[in-house]
Amino acid sequence: MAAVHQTQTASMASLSKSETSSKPASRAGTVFALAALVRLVLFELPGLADLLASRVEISTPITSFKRLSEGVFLFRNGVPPYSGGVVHQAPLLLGLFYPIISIPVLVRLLYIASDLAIGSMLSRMAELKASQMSRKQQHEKENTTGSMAEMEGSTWSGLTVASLYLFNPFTVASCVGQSTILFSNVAVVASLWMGMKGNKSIAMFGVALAAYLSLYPIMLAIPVALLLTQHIDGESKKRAIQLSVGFLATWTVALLGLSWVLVGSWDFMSSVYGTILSVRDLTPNLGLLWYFFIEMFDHFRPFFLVVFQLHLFIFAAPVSIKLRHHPLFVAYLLTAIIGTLKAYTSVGDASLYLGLLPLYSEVFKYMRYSFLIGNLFLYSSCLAPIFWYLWVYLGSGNANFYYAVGLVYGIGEIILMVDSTYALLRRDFDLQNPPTKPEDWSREVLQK
Amino acid sequence: MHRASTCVMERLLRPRHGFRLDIQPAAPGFAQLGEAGEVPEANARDGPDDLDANAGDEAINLHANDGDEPGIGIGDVLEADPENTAFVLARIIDLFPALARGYATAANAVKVPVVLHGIEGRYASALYAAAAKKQALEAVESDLKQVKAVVEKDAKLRQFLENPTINRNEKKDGVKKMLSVGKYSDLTKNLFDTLAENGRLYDTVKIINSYDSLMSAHRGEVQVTITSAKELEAKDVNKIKGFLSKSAYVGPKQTLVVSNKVNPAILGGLVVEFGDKTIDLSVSSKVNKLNQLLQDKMRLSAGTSIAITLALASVGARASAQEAFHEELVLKPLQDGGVYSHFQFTTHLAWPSDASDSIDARQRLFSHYNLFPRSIGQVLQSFDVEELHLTFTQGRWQYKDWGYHLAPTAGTGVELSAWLQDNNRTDENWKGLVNTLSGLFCASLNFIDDTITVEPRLSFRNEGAYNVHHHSRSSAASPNSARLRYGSLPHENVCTENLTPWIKLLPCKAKAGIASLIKSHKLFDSRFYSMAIHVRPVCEDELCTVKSLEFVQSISTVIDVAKGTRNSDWTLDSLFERQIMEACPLASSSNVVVILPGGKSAEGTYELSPAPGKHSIKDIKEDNHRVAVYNLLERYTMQSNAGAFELALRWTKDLAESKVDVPGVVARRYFTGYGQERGGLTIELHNYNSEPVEALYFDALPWFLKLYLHTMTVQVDSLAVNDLGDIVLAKYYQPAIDRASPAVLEMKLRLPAQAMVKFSLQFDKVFLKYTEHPPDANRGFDVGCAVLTAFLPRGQGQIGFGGLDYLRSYQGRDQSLLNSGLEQVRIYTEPLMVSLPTPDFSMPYNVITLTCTVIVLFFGSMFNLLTRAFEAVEPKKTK
Repeated sequence: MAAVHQTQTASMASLSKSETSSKPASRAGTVFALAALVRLVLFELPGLADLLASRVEISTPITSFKRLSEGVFLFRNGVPPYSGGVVHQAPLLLGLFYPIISIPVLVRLLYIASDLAIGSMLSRMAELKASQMSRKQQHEKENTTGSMAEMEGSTWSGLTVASLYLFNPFTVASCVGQSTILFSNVAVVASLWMGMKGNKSIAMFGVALAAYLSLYPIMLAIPVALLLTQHIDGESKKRAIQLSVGFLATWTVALLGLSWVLVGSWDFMSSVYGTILSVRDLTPNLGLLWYFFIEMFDHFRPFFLVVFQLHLFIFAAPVSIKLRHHPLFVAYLLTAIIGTLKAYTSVGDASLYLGLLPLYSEVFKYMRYSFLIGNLFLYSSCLAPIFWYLWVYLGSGNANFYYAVGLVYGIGEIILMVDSTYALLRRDFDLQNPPTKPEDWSREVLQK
Repeated sequence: MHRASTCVMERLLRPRHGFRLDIQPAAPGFAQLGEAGEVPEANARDGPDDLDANAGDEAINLHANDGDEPGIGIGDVLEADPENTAFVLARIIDLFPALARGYATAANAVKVPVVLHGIEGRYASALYAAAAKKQALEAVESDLKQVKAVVEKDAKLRQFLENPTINRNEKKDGVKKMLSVGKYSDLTKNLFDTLAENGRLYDTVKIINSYDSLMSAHRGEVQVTITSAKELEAKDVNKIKGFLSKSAYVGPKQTLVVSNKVNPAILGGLVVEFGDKTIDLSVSSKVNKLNQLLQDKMRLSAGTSIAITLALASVGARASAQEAFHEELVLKPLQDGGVYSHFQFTTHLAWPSDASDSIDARQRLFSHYNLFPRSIGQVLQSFDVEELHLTFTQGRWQYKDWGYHLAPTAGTGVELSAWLQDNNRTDENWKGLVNTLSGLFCASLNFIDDTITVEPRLSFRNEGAYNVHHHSRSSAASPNSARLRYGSLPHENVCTENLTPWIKLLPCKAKAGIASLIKSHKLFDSRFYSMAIHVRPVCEDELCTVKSLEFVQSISTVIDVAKGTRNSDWTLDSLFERQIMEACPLASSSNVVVILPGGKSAEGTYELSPAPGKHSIKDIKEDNHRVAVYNLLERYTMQSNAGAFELALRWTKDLAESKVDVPGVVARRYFTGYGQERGGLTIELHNYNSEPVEALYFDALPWFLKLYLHTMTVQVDSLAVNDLGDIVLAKYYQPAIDRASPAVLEMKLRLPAQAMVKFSLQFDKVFLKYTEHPPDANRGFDVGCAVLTAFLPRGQGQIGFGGLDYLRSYQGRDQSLLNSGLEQVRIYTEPLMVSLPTPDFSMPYNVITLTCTVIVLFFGSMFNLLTRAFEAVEPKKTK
C-alpha cells in the first residue's frame, strides 16, 4: 500500500510540475539567477568577503573559513592539522577544499552552488508538502464536513520559501563570509528532502554527514525517521526504522573511517567534537555560552558544561513525541534549538531554521509575537557589530555590551521557537475542534 | 672547595684509572684554604661517597694518641696516560688534605712510598706512617705476617673475623685475646682495636697485603707486570725495563722486578702495570677508542683516522688539569661612551676517560670535584642534564650601537635551555630541573611549564663535544640520545636576589680575583645586564681524546660612563666602585683584557694606564682588533705586594669619529594591526653583508596568539617573493595547543646580500577565561624574543677577537663551522607585548544569573507547550 502511495505522490508531483512548468520555471530561474548574482557581486566587492569572514557572528571557531584554510595549509605541508588548537573542522572538509583552496573562484562557486541547492531543495520540499496536504485535505473533506479548506488557507509556494531562504540577509552574509556551517546545512536540508521522498539511505546519509560536520544534527535522525515512516504502519514501520538506524550507523562509521584514512590519526575526534562539547575556545559569538564560560568559576565549569549540553540534547525526545505528526516541524524546532543553545552559534544556524520555518507558513497567523521577534532580530543584528567595535577596537565599551546583544538575540530566537510551536499546537487544536458556530471564531483557548 | 677532596683521591687511586695532570706548581689556594680549614670533614660528611669519608675518619682514630697535627700530606700521584704511550711525570699535587688529616701524618716528613687505594690502602698507609714515625716498620711487618699466617691456618678465626653478625665489642675482646698470646707491638694492637671498633676486621688480610706492598715499595722494589699478546723476548723486556727505569717515576734507588704475562685478547701492543699504575698500550684498547671516536660521529676522513692511530702509537705526552678555573674580564669601550664589560669564569672538570659506561662515568664525574660548584653538579646529575644554559637579562642590547655580544647572551628576561638525556623521565627531569634552578637562583623559573616549554628542532643545537660519555662499548647509545628543552620568561625581572646565588657558585666567591669587582648596585644600574651559567661537555683537543665538563659563569654589562658627566674616561674603580686586590688563588689564569678602541688607526686618541707591555698587546688580524691583556696571576705572584690593580682609560681626543662596528645581520620583530581581536606579526631581517648569509629563525609564540601560517608573506626589499624556496630552505612549524603548548616556528633561511627580508603573518587573539588573566590584565602579555642564529663570516661574530681561548671555547665547536670560517651568532629581537581582550572581571554573578534566566525562559515555555494541552474556555464559564 505504501508503494502505491508513493508512486501516487510522485506522479502527482510530476503532474503539478508539468502543469506549472512554463511560467513558474522561468520565474524560478530568475530568482535563482538573482540569488547567484547577488552573491557573486558581494564576493567581488573589495574587502567585503574578508570583512564578513572575520565577523564573529558569521565565523565561529568551528566554522571559520580562515581556520579551514590554515588546516588545509598545514595538511599540505605535512603538519598534522589537528595537533594544534586552530583547526576544529572535520577532516573531510579539509579533503574537499584541499584541491580547490588555491583557486578562489572555485571556492566561491562551491559556496554559491551549495546555497542555491538548499534553496532549490526547500522549494521542492514546500511543493511536496503542499501536495501531501492537499491530498490529506481532500481525504478529510470526503469524511468530514468541516470548513477545513478555509482554515488551511493557502501555504506559500516553493519559490517563495526558496527566495525567503536565498535572500535572507543571514544566509547571504553566511555564504559570502564562507562559513562552513553551510555544508552542514546542505546535509540537513538534503536529509529532510530525501526523508520526505522516502529515500532511507540518502536521508540517513544526510543526517550522518551533518552530524559528522557539526555533531548536534545527530538529533535530526528522529524527525528524519519520522518523515521516512509517516505513511507506513505496523511491522514495516518497525523494519524501516531498523533499516534507517542501520544506515545511520553505517554512514557515520564510514565517514569517520574515511576521515581516519585521510588524516591518519584520531586526533580530529577531540579537536572537532571535543571542542564542540567542551567549549574550549571562548571566542565570542551570538550564543549564550561564551561569556558564561569566560566568567565561570573554574570548579563549576564542568557542571555547567554538562548541564548545558544535556539541556540541548534533552529536547529531542519530548518534541518528537509531542509533534510526531509534524516531523518537518520537529526538524525545524530542533535546528532552532541547536542554533540557539549551542556554544558556537552563528547566523548560518539561524539561516537554516529561518529557511525551514516558511514550510509551515500556515501557522503564521496563529503567531502572537511576530513583530517583537522581528524587532529583536533586527536590533541585535544592528547592535552586535557596533557593540563589538566599542568593546574590541575603541575600548569605550566592554564585554558586557556584546554579551547583552547576544542575550537579546537569544531571547528573540527563544520567543520565535516558543511562539511558532504554540502556533502549531494551537492550529492543531483548531483542526481537531473545528469552530462550528460563528461565536467559536472568537472563543478563548487556554493551555491546561 | 675541599668538600670532595677525599673523593677525588679515592677516584684517583682506583686501579687502571688514568688521569692526566698538569705539570704546574700546585695552586697556592689549595694549601691556603686547606690550612684555613674549610672543615674538610664537614664537607666530606655530606659528600656523595660516605664510605670513603668514614674511612678517613676511622683512620684518624687510629692515631688519636699520636696527636693530630694538621698538615698537608703530599701525594705523589703519577698518572700514566692510557691513550698515549708515554709516561707522564705528573706534578706533585697536593690534592689530599683530608687524606693527610686521615693519616694524621704523625710525622710531617713521613711519606707513603706508594699511594694505595681503598679502605685497606688507607689503613695500611696509616699504619705505615705511624710505624715509620716510631721506626717500627719491620716489627709491624713481622707482626702482621704472623697474624696472617694464623688467620690463614685457622678457619674458625677467619670466620670470627669475617662474620658481620658478631657484635663489635665481642670482636674487640676476641682480637685482644688473640693478640695477647704472642708478642705484638703496640701499633699492631692499636690497629686491630681500631679495626674491631670500626667493623673492618673482615679486611684484615687485605690490609696486611697492602702493608706488604707498601713495605716492598719502601725497600725500593717496583713490581712491573707486562702483559703482551705473545711472550716477549728478553731483549724487549730489557728495553722496556730500561725505559721504565729512566722515567722519573722510578726513583734512583728503586729496583724493577719485571714479570711477563701473556694474554692474546689484547691483540697486540703492551699493557704495563707497575705499582698502582696501568699503561694500556694494547691494540685492543686502541681499537675500542677508535670505535668510540667513530661512534661519536667525529668527521674523520680515512687519513685522519690513520693519523690518530699514529698519534696514539707514538710517544707523546699530553697533560691537562683534572680541574681548572679561569677568570677573565673583557672591557670594550663602546662608541657611544659606554663600556661593555664581560666577566667570564670558566671551570673545567675532566671526564673519567676510561669509564666502562656512561652511567659509571657520570657517577664518577659527579662524585669528585673541588672547583666545580656542588649545587650545579647535583642538578646535572639528578636530572640527567647533558648541557645547560641559563641566562638572566635585563635591558636591550643595542646591536646598531654596540655591535654583537662578545659571548652569547639572551633576550630580556630569563632564558633556559637544556639538553636532557633521552629517557622516559625527560619531561619529569625538565620539570625538576626548572624547579630546582628556580630555587637555586631565586627566580620564577618554575613558571616555565608546558605552555612555555618547547623543543626547538633547528636552533639551539648542542654546543659541546656532544655525548662524550656515551661511548660505552656495550650500549648502542645513538649520538642523539639527548633532547632539548627550551623556555623563556620575558617578564622576569633580574635583581640582586639572582646575583647572590650566582656569586656563590664561584670558587673565590666575590672575595678575590676579578669577581671582587662585582657590586650589585653598580651592575644593575646599567643599560644592559646579562648574567648566565652555561654547562656543556667540551673537548680539550682537536680529536676529542680528552673530554671535560665546562662550566661557564658570565656577566655582561654595558655601563654608561658618560651619563651625566659627558666624560667617557673611566677607571675600574669608577666603573665598578670596587678594586681587584689579588687574583683568585685558585685560578689557572686570570686576565683583564681591554679591546682597544678603533684598532690601530685610533692609536693616540686615548691613554691606557697602566700602559700595557709590548708583549701583552695582540693584534687579532682576522677580527681586525687589537687587545691589551693584563695577566693578574703574573702580577700578583711576581710582586708580593702589588696592591690594587688600577686600570684607567683616558681619551685625549674626541671619539666621535671612530667607526661603529656595523653588525652584519640585524633582526627586528613587531606587531601590526590594532584592536584586540587580531593582529599581524612582522619579522624584518636585515643582511648588511655583501654575500648571502644562512640563518636560523626561531620563534616560540604563546598559545593565546593563534597563528595563521597560510597568511605568511615574504618580501625582499618590499618586493613580494612568490617562490619561498629561495629564501626559506627549511621550515618547522608546530601549531599551538590551547592551554597546553606554544606555537613554534623555525625556519632555515638564506638571507640575500644587502637586503631586507620581511615576513608577515596574521594571528587571532584568544579570549581567555577570566581566571587566566593576570591581576594586571590590562598591562598585556609578554611575548618572548625571537632568536636568529646567523652564520656570519669571521670577524663579525660575537667573539670579535681571537686568542682569548676561554671565551672562544664557548663558541660552537662545530667542526664544519670552524672550517668554513663562519661564526655562529645569536641575535635576539625585542620582546613584545600583546594586549588581549578582557572580560568584565566584576560580572561573574550577573552573567550566571542572566544567562541562566534566558535558558530557563526557554525551558519553562517549552515545557509548558509540550506538557499542557489546549482547551477551549466555555464562554458561559468565563461569564
